[in-house]
Amino acid sequence: MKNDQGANILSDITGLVRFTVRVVRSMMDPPFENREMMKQSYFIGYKTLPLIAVTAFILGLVLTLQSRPVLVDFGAESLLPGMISVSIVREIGPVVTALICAGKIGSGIGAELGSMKVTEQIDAMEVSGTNPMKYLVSTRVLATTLMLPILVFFADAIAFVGSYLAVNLHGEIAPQLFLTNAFAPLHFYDLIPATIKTFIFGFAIGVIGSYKGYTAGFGTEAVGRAANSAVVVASVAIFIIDMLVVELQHSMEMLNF
Amino acid sequence: MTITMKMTVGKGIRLGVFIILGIAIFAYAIYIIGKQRNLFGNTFTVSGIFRDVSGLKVGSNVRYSGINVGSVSNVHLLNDTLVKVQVTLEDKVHQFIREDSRMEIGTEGVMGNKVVNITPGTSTKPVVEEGATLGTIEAVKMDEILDELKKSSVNTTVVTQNLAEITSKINQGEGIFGKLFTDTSFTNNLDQISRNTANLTRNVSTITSKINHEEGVVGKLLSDTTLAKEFDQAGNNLLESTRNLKGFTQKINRGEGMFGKMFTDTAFTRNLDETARNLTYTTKQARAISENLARITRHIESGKGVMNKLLVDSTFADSLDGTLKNINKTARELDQAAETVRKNWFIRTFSTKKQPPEQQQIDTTKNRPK
Amino acid sequence: MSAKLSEHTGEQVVKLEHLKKSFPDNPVLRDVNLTIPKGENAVIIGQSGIGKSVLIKCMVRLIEPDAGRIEILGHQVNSLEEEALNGLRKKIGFLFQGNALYDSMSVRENLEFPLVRNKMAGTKKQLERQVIQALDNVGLRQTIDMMPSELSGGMKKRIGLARTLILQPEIILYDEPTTGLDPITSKEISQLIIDLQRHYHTTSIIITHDISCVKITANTIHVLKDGSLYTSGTYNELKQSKDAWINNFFN
Ligand SMILES: Nc1ncnc2c1ncn2[C@@H]1O[C@H](COP(=O)(O)OP(=O)(O)OP(=O)(O)O)[C@@H](O)[C@H]1O
Ligand SMILES: [Mg+2]
Repeated sequence: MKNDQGANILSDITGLVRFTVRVVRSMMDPPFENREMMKQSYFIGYKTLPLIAVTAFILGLVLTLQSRPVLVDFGAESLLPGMISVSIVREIGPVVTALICAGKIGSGIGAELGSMKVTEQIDAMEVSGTNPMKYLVSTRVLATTLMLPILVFFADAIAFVGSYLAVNLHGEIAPQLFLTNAFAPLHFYDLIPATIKTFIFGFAIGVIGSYKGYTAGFGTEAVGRAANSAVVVASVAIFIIDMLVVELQHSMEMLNF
Repeated sequence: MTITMKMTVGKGIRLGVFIILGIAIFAYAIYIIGKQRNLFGNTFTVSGIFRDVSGLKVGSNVRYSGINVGSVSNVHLLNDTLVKVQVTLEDKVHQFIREDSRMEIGTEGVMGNKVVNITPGTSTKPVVEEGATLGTIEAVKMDEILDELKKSSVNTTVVTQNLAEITSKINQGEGIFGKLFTDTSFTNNLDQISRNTANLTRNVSTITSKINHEEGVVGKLLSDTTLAKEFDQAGNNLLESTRNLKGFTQKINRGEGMFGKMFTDTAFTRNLDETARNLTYTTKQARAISENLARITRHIESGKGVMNKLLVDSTFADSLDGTLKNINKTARELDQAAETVRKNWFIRTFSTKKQPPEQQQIDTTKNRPK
Repeated sequence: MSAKLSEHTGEQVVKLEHLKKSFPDNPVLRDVNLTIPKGENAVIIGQSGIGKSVLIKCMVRLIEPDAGRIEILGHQVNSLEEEALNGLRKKIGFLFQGNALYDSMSVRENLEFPLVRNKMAGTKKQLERQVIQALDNVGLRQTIDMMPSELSGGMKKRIGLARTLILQPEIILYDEPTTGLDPITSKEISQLIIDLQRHYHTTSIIITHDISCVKITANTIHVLKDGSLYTSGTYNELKQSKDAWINNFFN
């Protein structure tokens, strides 16, 4: 096993890439661990919703309150819902949700698999006729990949609610009008790449958390380290992916999709 | 943590509800966005042919009486000069689009997004058929406005030059009278001034109408109120010049029937001297106008302070209107002056051989297509 | 999968030849040759960190050896496809040094896991009966709905043992089965190992530092030293050995 002292970033990356290939391959061929996958989806999706909901609500509220003065200066206050909706749908919803999930789910997976690794539970599974790559890793990666977009849909919707309330602090606006205004500037090229990227975020969080846990060293401190570096690496990965997806967004914008 | 993390039926149901709700939110968003872009429901298409679509894109909104009724579904070149724009419209507006409805490209919003406006037709005309080609009203662009401003600037320069010529002739002193009244070019010059000023007026009027027409563009390109002030200044200067010329004309008019006096009376000579000075002043004024206009053109070309100008948009339009009126008045007065000079029997007598004008003449009549 | 053979057949169920395994800067196993006949309790002793756990992990391919042949129940462990490997692993019980109980699962789920995963669960009733029987074997029926975190160290060890035995394997690999237990429980565990051998003719490889366990269970003792087998013999042979190092170990 590798010596974590001064862990080499490059070997970490090649290790991660190889691990990703293994994960994808084990996701491809049957048998599929559907039960375990449902269980993980429940914890990763449903159980994370309250946290996401609170954050998204506050985010929508605060973002609106903070953006309002600028638009008021330009006499363009009516653009507020549209401006907020575009930033939420395009960027803030997916990225903030992904970062929170990197913190909660990524570290959770890293710690869980790390401690399973350290206490030989993964070995025990393997000798019990269970491919831990399938049973533990694929299910988690699949669950994060599929649940993150759904969490983001909720986050976007709840952020809209927060934004609506913030707009309402300065005068009545009917929910219907707010929605019309919010959706007016939205195109498919706002929604679709943003959604595609949430899948990638979810995948990255799952893979990185699993990788960090799965390759944890020895001892309890390795568990902490696995959890910690899972969060750090996943967060950085989210920003890098986000940057790359901007290109996709632009090319779709060109086609006016 | 619960006693066991086993997946129970209850958890399964909660997970299912969670997933279904999440997907419903997404589906709702897709539906709303799709509806805005007319992806669902019955639609029909019409098209229009433009020479220039000013950056109109597929997906741009289509308005009928200011209501969103569809979107642009295709923009493509027909040949080297014509662009075909196809729009998809909601079925419910079909009944209002008549054969003489027209398509026009307009601008909306802070960002100057392009939209297609469809004008209502005559209610007696039949409703258009699916796939019909509507007539179009060509959009006016800032480029053209810039061109106009340049032309105005040139015209003003010409006016200035003409005035300068007259002035120098008067200033040359000796043999003033013989020269002044026998030389047909004097009359021609005054004629020319009048015509050029009329051109200038027309130019500025075109600009103003275009600017009024294209509010968004003005907001985008014009930087601040100083510009408006400069335009005003230009107007005032022209007015001033007119007054000076008028004075000159009046003096000539007063000289009518005073044939003998004209050659003997020193007061008249003094008068003419004054006129010469006045004309010099006018020349300077006209040059200032020319410079002002050139400055405005540069200003607009550099397009400074886009957003700020947005807020003073209407003020600017008012200023332009004022300027236009001033210039109009000036032109009329110059016309009158020229007319007076021409009518004057004295001058007529001495200017029998009229020569065709050689001065630069700028044609401004072809700005509006069709 | 009948382990109920009446006699020692002399068949070698475990054969290791020139087994090598090294970790970076750490040549753990240099050249291990070992054969264990069917039905025998083979004890492996050696200093801490010498590579005993690595050795038995190689036998179930939890660790890939660098070189050498491993033959278990007639199968070349390192050339098996996944399915065949799992078939073989089903016949090998593995008690981990640290129990390796799944701490997100209850005791019941821990015991059900190998059965369910190997599709040997049968009906719900059968499953329940098997779980209870395995718990009865180690005397911990009352813990069935507890979580591992609620158990004492010794209880965990015994649950781990119950889980190892629940598939009724032909070969059982015990990694320190009695460490950390009181002398009485320790003797009970040793006795259980003997009982299994008697009833089911299982072959056992027992890694232990516990001399009383060695004394009770060992048919043959293999001493691992410096990356290879140092010597082998019965308890009495080694106890009377003139070798200073072995003497040190046994007294
Ligand atoms: N996965 C691994 N990666 C790197 N080194 C390892 C790994 N597993 C074991 N080692 C090293 O191999 C050596 C042997 O370890 P092993 O666990 O086999 O010792 P052991 O003989 O079982 O000791 P103990 O009696 O204390 O359990 C140790 O130095 C250990 O650090
Ligand atoms: Mg060990």
